[in-house]
Amino acid sequence: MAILEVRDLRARYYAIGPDILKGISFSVEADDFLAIIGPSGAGKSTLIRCVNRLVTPTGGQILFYGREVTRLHGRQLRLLRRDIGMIFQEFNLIDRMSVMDNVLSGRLGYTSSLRSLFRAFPRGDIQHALDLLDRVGLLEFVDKRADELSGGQRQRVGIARALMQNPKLLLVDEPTSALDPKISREVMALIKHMATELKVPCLCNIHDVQLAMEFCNKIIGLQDGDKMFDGPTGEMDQTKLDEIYDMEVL
Amino acid sequence: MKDTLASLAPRPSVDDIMRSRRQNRYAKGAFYALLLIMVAWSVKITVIEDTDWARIGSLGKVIEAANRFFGIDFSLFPSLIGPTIETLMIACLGTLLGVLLCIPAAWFGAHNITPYKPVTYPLARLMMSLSRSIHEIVWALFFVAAVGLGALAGVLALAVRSIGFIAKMSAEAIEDIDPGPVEAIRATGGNGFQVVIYGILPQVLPQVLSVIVFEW
Repeated sequence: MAILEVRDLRARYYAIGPDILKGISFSVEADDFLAIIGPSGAGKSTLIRCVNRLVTPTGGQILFYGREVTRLHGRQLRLLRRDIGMIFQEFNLIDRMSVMDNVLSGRLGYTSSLRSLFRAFPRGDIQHALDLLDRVGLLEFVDKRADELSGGQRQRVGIARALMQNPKLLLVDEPTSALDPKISREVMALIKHMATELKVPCLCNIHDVQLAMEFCNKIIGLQDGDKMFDGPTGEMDQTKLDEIYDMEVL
Repeated sequence: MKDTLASLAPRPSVDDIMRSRRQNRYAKGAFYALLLIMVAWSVKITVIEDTDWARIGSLGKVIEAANRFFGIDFSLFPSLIGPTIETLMIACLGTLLGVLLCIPAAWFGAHNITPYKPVTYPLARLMMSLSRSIHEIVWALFFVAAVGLGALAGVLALAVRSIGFIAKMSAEAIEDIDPGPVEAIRATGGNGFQVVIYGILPQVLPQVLSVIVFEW
């Protein structure tokens, strides 16, 4: 069964603005690590933000575990988001909080407002956070403030925060574009490793085609809001890549 | 492709650029001249014509008046200790109450988080302007009439006056935040309250604290 099924998804930001997504359909299976590639402005970020509804699509359907989510709001929407972890391009950590508090903030969807005001997370959450920080290799940085860390370390905190949610799906938005090539590969390997071990499917925006070919089993190529390619990584070749990336120039 | 695009736009000549820069200079000159005239006019109307120059008198009289401020009478000190402490307590309580009242005002008055922009945003901005445009002495007069002479009137006056400054500066700090962390907290499934506590508050706290200390 498909974990996520997207049908004819359309989105635009302004009522009279241009269409950012022009009817995209695809599905994500339980063991997929799916890459979305395409030039800047193709709609990659908008597409994955539609899935956890940071952006509300203007048309089409999104089925998450068979459940239509494009019209959810309020509590139902928060329960959906809590099941979907997200890793960001600019990490989006809370700079003035400790690494531990940042990772624990992944549990906010499970935590009452009163508890979160006093940052009184249950013992189990702290244990879980410590385990994850150990796994991403940041155990000695638990009490450091997030803004004291290097780029690669910050993204590891971002990964731990997303996994703290016990997500059923990971959305990954350009995880490596703020990092150097060596760290980029390490971060991708870490995400892949953790996702495989925890059996979480991933939907990953990435414009580095090499990394996409290396780590992902399926690729979707977007160009100017249209799907140009959808298939296993093995079927992607230079001609198709040129087609996806070339057309942006007039 | 880039070359084609660039060649479509007409290439401006040196004369065109010189002309537009000259016009720019004239416009600026006219603006500053107008400003100078307005200042001079204000000084003439309000200071030169409206001051009772005879009352100030000669330079010697001015020095004599200034002299009367010196020669401090230390015997009065003991009777001033009590009121000084009371003033300090009024300031603390007034600021504290002001800070509490500022929370909804700053929340409504920041355009990126205000609950219902067409209503709550102008409402909060109106409150802030009102609070600032009435002097605290005048606020104190209002509250003396309402609750009688005493420390409570002072506390209320300071609190109401604080809203204007603290809420305005806080609201502006909130408008300047990085939206990334807010997006991240929303993505974890956090509710509106949690987004404020985790996504917004840590980003604005240093600025808000410095405004509160300044206002105190």
